[in-house]
Amino acid sequence: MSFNSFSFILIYLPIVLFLWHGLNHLKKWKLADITLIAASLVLYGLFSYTFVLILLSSCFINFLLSKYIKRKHILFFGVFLNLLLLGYFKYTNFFISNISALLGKSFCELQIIMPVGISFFVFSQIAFLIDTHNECNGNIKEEEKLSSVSLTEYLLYITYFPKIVQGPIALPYEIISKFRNKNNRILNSIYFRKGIELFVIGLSKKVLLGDNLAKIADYGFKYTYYMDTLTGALVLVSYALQLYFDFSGYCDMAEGVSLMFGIELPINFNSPYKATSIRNLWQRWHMTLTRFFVRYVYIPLGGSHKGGIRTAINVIIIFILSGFWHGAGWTYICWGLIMGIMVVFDNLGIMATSGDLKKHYLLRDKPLFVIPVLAGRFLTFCMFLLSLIFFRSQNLTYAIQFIKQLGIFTWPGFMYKTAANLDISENYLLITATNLFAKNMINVVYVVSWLVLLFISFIVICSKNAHEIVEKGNPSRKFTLLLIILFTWSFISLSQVSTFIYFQF
Amino acid sequence: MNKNNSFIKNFITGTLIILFLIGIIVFLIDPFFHYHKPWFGLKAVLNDKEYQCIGTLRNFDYDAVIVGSSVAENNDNSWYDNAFDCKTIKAIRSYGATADLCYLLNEAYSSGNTIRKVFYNIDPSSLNASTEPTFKSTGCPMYLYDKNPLNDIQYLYNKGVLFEKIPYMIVNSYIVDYDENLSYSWAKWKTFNKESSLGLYFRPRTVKKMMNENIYDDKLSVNIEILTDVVKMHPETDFYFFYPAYSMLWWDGIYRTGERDAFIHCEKEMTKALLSFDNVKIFCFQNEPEVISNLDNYMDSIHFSPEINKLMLDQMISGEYRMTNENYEEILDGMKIYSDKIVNELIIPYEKDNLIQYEQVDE
Repeated sequence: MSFNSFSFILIYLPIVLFLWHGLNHLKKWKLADITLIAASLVLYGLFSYTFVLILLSSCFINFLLSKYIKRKHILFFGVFLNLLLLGYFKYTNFFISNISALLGKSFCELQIIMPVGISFFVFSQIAFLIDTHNECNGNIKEEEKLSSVSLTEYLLYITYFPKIVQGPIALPYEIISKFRNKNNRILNSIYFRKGIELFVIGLSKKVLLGDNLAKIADYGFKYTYYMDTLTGALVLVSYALQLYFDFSGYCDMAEGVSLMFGIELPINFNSPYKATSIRNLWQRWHMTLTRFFVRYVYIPLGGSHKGGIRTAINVIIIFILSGFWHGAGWTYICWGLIMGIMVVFDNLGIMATSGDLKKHYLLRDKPLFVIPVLAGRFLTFCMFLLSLIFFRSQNLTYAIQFIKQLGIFTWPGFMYKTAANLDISENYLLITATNLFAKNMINVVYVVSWLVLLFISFIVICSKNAHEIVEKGNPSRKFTLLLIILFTWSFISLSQVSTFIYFQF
Repeated sequence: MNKNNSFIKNFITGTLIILFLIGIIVFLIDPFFHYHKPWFGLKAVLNDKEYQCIGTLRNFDYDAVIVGSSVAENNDNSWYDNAFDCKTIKAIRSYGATADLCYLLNEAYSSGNTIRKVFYNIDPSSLNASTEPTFKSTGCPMYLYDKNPLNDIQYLYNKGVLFEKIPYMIVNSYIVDYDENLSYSWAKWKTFNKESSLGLYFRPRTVKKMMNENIYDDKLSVNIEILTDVVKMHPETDFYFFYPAYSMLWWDGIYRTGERDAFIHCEKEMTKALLSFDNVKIFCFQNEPEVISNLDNYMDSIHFSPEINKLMLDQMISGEYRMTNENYEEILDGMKIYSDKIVNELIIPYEKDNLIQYEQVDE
């Protein structure tokens, strides 16, 4: 069950909210916790109850290990076990296919169904083991200390439904300490208002923008070989926007839902397309993942304290890992490598954006060229776009072909065919009227619709982000009305009439 | 009340009001006829069989049903209404699988209407088709088929319904002169000629050995049972079954796949079972050389023009091509002989003129 579904909005969320606040109101704290864990497992179990077994088994093992985590070899063993679990479900077939290719033999791939959200809950468990180990050894900040964590608290931290499927990757103290604070369990109208606002903004980003842009992006990346230059560029922009609206929309919804429960989740997106460098972009995009890699990989590798070359290598390592985390494929690894190289370039001191200057660069103290903020944003967006070719293409051959299509100017008119995928209900009257009165203009109407969608998307990403809007407080009547319209529009978009291809008799 | 509480209250109230209004609009106009027949002078604009067939069968007034696959869609209801003095409705299902069509027929019988006549198009492929209804497995909107009011939310709050289907229904009812007798008809968007039918026929490359005629018997026996059960349970209804006039290209195709004898066997068995009922008349329009060998009547190997629908109806009225216990085997054996003629004689000029396309073979 996803957040953008009737059953979640109309049944699951109201019932669980009622139980949670009702039990907390009656001061049945423990029962409220258990109810929330059970509700989270039910939601997770709707994907598959086998997944629940895997999740719970791994939770119990990790919790048990955490009791003996002071010793380093137990920590290594625990981290290894978690990576093994992730590796088995996510990467086994990737390794099998590569070994097959390497040896020129054909090994059978395994029928493995990957549990939903495994990449997220495995990382959360690793974070818990490491933080507990550090706490046992006195290597943790005061505000991050949790002292002893009960099984219920641990299960709440891992299974908490707003974050289990797609994050954010919260640190143990960020969740557990908030559940411990009884003030958070009192129905809070500020949190509830913010929660509704974030949920509606996230839902409309995902449903009204992301899902429509996906129709273009999916088609474009499927027919890479037919793409002309301009269409390729617009498809790429559409995909970049889709990716952002989809993921950040989901995170907004998750944070909104969580706020309704009184729990603030860490922010995961902070207007990444306003970033002035790739380094800056990664401080704004999937922030909790970046933080995880910095905290648990980059810093233990020595971070930036072991000289310029080691720093660069460390950066590249964490970005390759980040790419591999996103997907088991060479395209993701390449994407991670490209990102890593771009971040290293940003750190060299050759070029930087004014307003985003560091105190010290790897090659020099001050950057050689300083460019204006707008130019920095534009260049950063373009570089990120190019990297996304690898992120989205089905394989490296397709990715290289996409780059060729962009690089060698062609204009075979594939734009019309791509734009026609934007055959959406909102367009129906316009398309029908055009068909009736100016049939030869129909292709133009589709292209204009596409451009309008891109234009609206750009306005959204250039405006205040969801958190900035929500933090403003004092919602006006106009804003309330806007949210009502966005919500109802998104709500009716959850169900649509499918086209049964007419001649599939 | 603080501003936060006031926002929450306004948001929830405003949303509920708008959602209530949307729900009421969809309920009143009801373009899929899930709740009622057309109100406010709206017409029964029918062009989405997967969404509308079930609702119309449950909620409309009629006493006769035209049942079949896409080849039955181009029938003009008024032809049947005038010829048999009845009020017809269409029960159409893609591919016309027996289990699906009988599901729709049973819905018609449960609607409270007295069904006097059923005109049932038997596609050969329906005889060996799935013996379970395929609505769910083919992605049909089950919220319209089941009787669970809770999942109606997918209909009441549906962007496609609100932004597309309702405007379409209103325009066709009040502005365009929509003809309700042409429900689900697709003929006006298609071209029927030799070029089109040959262009959409992809001939199997090789001629396979003719299969054992009993190969489909497992599914056939269940399909016979499903269909005869409906006939048996409704002795008050006159059933008119007919085998439609597929083109000679279809016969060429099943000859080459080796299925011809099996299909003819299926038809014989189904015909035999149906003829045991007094309230059944069966017609076979397959062996009609002037129709099936003239490719200008078709848009592909199966789908013929509305004129052929009308011709079949006229022949049904005049009692031509009727199958009886005495002649049904002879008629169907005649089809076998005629299909040999198609393969050995009638198709040859098209081969010589290189007008036949062949199936792509997977590497």
